Amino acid sequence: MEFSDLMPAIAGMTWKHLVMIGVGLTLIYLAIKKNYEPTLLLPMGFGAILANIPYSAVLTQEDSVIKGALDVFFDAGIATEVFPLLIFIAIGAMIDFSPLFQRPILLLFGAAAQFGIFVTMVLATLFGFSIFEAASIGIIGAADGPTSIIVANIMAPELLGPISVAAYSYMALVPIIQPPIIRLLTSKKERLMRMQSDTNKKVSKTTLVMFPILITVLAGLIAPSSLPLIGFLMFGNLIRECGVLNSLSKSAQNELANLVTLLLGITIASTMQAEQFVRLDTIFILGLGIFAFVFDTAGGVLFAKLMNLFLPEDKKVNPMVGACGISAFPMSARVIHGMGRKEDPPNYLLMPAISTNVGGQIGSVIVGGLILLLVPLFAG
Amino acid sequence: MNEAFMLALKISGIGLAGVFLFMTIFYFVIIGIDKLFPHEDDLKEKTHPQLNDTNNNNS
Repeated sequence: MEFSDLMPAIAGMTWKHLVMIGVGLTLIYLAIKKNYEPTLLLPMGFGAILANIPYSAVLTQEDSVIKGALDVFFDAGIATEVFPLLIFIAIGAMIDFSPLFQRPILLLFGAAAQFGIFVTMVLATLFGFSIFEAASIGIIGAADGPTSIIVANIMAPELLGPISVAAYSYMALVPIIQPPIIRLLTSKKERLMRMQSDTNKKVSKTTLVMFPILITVLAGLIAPSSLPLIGFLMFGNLIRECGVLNSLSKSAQNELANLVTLLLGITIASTMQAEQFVRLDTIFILGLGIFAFVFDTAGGVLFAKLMNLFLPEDKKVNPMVGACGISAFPMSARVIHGMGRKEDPPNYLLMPAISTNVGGQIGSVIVGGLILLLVPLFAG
Repeated sequence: MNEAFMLALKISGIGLAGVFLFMTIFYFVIIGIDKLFPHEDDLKEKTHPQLNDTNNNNS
């Protein structure tokens, strides 16, 4: 009997497997020690270790008749898009859209701060990625994990692992990535700007119930491909706002979100196998993901500066708030509020920042839907 | 420039315009439904402004 028959896992271990186990340990370290998106990075890190022990039975092996558990989860939850869509229901149930009604114009930043997605998509094609791969890489900039997973799964399933890792890791790095970009693009005077917000404005229940329904119908009529994304988000929100499903709303916000996040994280790890992950492309994807994030932030800030040229004095927007147009909610809003208070302690930017951040959540989902519509349409 | 690059440029232009179009439509939806279904307090203020004045005077 040979050693490889007795200890196949040890005999089959390569340097690539060891690199991936190191990646898994790093993700677990970031989750526990740095508190970076622990709900996702910890399951992903542990899953990466599980998936990179040679002949691991959590993955389907060639000579086995039993399917590996991670492959079963993947086929059931990711390939079918069920897990990310369930996460959208949970997110929808968590979002309060009423801040948007205080100053609806801030919704436009949810569009401007998607700029980096498209710039990155163009850039990625110069690195030799196909248009489908480039679009999937660009969407990392949306700072929206479920949207990134859905787009990558449809357009470039072979890149799903690195794209998911990049999307969730960078979401956690918003407090590190955004402030230097914002400081670079704004003057001290601009950062000190105060914004008037109508915090006393109340929104009727009918309005809050009508909003998710109307948005779903309109989005569906214009871009039906966006319906799974926007529809499930708005369904979750309708459960929250209708007032007769409080128990379901709480379940969606807590139990559903927790359970699906747990399964999503560990299942994504099945795409982090050494042969697929340890490649030069992965480094490009991680780099381009940062680029998308930076340009999304810049897009929001510069759009605010542009808008200020046309807005009356009392309606001007602090350009820092434009950076909240990304989807990382509520982290981005908190970061901007913190930056505002650091410059000028009595300057409370939280409400406009939250409004913009909510707009960013809608914007990222719309961009996901548009990419799913436009790329196959033009690329054939 | 390769074909994918030109395609990406085209899709980016249309995509960015599309997001702005969506958001502009949603902006008008928000304005519209907020006007159509105002909060009860706002409605009272509009139909009985004197009530609000009285309250303010009393305080």
